[in-house]
Amino acid sequence: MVWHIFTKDMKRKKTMNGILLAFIILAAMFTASSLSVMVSVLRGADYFADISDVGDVFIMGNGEEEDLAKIQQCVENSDMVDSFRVNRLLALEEGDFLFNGEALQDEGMFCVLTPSENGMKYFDHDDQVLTADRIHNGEVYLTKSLKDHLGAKVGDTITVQVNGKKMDLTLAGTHKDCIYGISMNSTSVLISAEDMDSLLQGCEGDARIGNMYFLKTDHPTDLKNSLGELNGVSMVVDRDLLKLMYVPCILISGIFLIVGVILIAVSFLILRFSIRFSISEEFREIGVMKAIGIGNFKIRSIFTIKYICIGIIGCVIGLVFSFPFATCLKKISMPSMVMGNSLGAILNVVGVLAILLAIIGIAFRFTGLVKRSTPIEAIRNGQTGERYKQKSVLHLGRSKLPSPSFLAINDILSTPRRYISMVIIFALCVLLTLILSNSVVTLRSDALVETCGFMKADLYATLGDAENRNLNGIDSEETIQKCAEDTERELAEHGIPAKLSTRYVVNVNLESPTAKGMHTGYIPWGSSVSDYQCIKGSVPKAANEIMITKQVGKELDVSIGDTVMVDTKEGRMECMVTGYYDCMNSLGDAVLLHENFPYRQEDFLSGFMFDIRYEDSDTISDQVRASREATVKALYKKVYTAGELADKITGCSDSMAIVEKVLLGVTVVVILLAVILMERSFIADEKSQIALLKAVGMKDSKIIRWHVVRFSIVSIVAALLAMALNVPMTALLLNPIFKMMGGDSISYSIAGTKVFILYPLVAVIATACFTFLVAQYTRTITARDTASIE
Amino acid sequence: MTKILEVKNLCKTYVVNKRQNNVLKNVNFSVEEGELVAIMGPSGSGKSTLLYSASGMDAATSGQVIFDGEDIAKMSARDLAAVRLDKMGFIFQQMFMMKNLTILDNIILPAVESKKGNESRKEIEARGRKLMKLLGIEEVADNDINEVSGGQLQRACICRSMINHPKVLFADEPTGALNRSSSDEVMKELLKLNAQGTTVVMVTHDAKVASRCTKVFYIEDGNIKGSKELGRCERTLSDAEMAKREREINNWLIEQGW
Repeated sequence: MVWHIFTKDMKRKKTMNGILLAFIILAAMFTASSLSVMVSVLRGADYFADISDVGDVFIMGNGEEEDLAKIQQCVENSDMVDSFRVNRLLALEEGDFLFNGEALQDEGMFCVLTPSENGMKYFDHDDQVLTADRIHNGEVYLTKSLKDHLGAKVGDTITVQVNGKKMDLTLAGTHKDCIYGISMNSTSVLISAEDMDSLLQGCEGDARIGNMYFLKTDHPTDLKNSLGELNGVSMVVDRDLLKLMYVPCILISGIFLIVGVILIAVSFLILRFSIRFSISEEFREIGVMKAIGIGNFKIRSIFTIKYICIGIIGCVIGLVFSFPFATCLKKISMPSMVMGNSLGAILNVVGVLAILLAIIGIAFRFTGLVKRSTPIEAIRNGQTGERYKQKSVLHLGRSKLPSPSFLAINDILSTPRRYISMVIIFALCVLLTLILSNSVVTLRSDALVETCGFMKADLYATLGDAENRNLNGIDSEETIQKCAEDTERELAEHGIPAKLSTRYVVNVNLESPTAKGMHTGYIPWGSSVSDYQCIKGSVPKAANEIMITKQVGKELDVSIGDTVMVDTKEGRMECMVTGYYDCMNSLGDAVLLHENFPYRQEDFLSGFMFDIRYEDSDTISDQVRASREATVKALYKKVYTAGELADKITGCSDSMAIVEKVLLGVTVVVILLAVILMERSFIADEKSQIALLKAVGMKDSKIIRWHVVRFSIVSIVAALLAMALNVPMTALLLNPIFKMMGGDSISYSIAGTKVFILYPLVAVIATACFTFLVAQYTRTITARDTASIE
Repeated sequence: MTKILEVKNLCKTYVVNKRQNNVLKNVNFSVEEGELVAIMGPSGSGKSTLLYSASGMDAATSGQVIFDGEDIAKMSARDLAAVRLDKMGFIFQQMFMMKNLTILDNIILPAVESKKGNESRKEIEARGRKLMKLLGIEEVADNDINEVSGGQLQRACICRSMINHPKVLFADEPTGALNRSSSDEVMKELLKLNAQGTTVVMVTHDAKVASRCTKVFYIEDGNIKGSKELGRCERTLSDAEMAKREREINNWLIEQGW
């Protein structure tokens, strides 16, 4: 009998077993691959840095020959440097590149490099090392993001111009670069050694020529601090900072992990639902087995074995699919990274094994239903395929509802427990898309700009001098002053009364009683520190007060009210931490200083973006605002709204938007599978009732309507639940990810139309349509079946 | 008397595992309005198949089933559903009920579905209660189906089958799942309905039940082998006369090979 039940179940419930299998495959595949991708991303920067041979600290030195020589000398002679590698570098700006005859815009700095035996390694799109001999003369390799941004194809011509000398290069492909592949304000361009020589000819002494050094050391912090003080060193990066640069990728891989977790939850609920139905259908056999003395454990084993079999098959298939799927996810979450981890396939296997164990546990837990009835109860209950435990809630005579709607509502109210798992499954599916939608809107929202470390303004711009309007960085206070005045005047001439402000970027050496370190400091210029958002405590009110990010607080082991020592032009100064603020722009490594802070000249790095604030901002209409935005964007090249700037800084909203669409598809597929499985289960369970309704003359269409209304109500309740939970769940799931990106106090934006109308509607309509299609199966049940029901 | 049901050359064939099984072979019979007809026969003879085919619950392979002047064998599923709803009533051996409805709601569901009258829900409910009262189960109207006895449940099924005033009431071994006392009660109700003018066609194994009918068909191997007119079983008949009818039907059944 044991074998009989097992084989009968496998034959009779092909569809349901197949769908359960599909869920387990999906859950195993998503979990195993997301786990692998998450670990790859978390360890990815180290892995990528190791295989790229970039050492522990890397510096970029450019400028005067004298400075370069000094840097070279320091690197060669430093006791802290174990070994080093070096690459020649030509740091160009966007105006120096032309594509289709147009100068490139909005790309920041271009580091023209050439691979060498002695330098760091670059990789092609297949993750193979791109050696110097593979780059032929006249060829150029761009990063994938730049190629995609330009819309360039292999074979297109990119023109480089240096000191009036033009060189046409053919785009030969894309490359992956550990240092510049992820940077938001700079990118790398690979050319052949010969072309590099040709470009550098006649540029001797040019500030744009330099070297990149990749240093191996056991003292990264000390080395970083000592080299950072040298003239001509424009960038010092250690492994910690490199890892921080890759943090935004975690957002996408984290989302995939969330998807995996939700799919596991859905699979387990489906498993529970399936077990309960399976057992209720076999109640008579269970009763007979009990009556002849077969023990509960053995009876439970019959059902457990079935789910273990399906679980093993599903997990094995899921594991196999997880490898290509992980590769695909890695390409989506971090296309410019060579990813891998030393754990390799073990992670996938561990993820899948965890799911299998959970399936076995759940199967055994829910087959416990077998224990609850005596043999005769089981036989009697199983005789008609029904268990009369329901309690009618509504009364047909007192209701004005049409019969199908009445039956549907009464079913749900009479046996709510039966529908709870369905509501949870649908709610989880909808919630998934809502969270994604919210995260995309949040990443593009105006509110996020303050979390990125900016003050609120009408527009933000990177402005240069009046002639070329395209200077990528303003490196002196005088230039900033002049640029702001020129721009304010010009805007006024165009009828836009506006004030410009910016913030100086300075190196800040902070020392607490237990730790010290160099951090990125921001000093408001043209505005007050009180214009910035403080997430806890208060903004600095005096020059000896500072606001820090929580990350800096943690590094220095200080909190609000504590003091730290800071180097100023007046010597060491004791500054009090008055509050915390967010600065995702620096990935949480930032200090906001008072506008009167006496910084040392040598610590000054640059100005960072201008804030354009209309003097009449509070009174202008949206129309005027839009018109002004258009005017300013026409006048200057790099102008952003708050949302655009936040999007540019986080840099992953586009990928997230793609993921959102993919997940909407996944949600619809999950709903389809869940509806097929559940509706078929309901039809099987209610066969006698359907036959009875047909026998008393109810039309097929009304029976189908009964089922459609029932599932639609469930999906509406689920959609409402998902809508109610979307804000807290978005915060719960995304807070840890944003925290890693340096955002401790995220104000989430809600994708209103999508969250409250579009996606819930898609889910409800999809449920209703799929139920309608599956419910057509009830047409195969005839009134005659009343005679053949056991 | 008008013929309410006329079955002509009715055949029903099932194909199981590629083997053809002719369950009904050119069956012919008719039922007149007001009759109480029993279909009897050994197990597997095709009694239930005949009842289901004759009532349009199952499609015939060939032949005609004229019900109330219309050939229901040629009707669409939609029209057939309408006929079942408004003109036929069914009582099954198993007391099928909608699980989540009360006894009263189960009874009035066909009336709510029917477009025959223009009654309000309240009127339908009142009629359902009246019907329950007639069958002596009014006290369980608001009970759930697991809260009543088998006899009460079967009487509720009779109420449901009667709610739309059917012209013919089909019953497939209506007392088969009941004990003797419940069985007698149910038969009493069917006789009462028949006395009020409802035509009843039932399948039964019970000679005592058949002895109360006006006509009995004996079916064997898919064919009607014989029929017996018994005349109306008046309620005024004495126990001795009832016993005589029962003996008469038993003897006839033995002649048929029962």
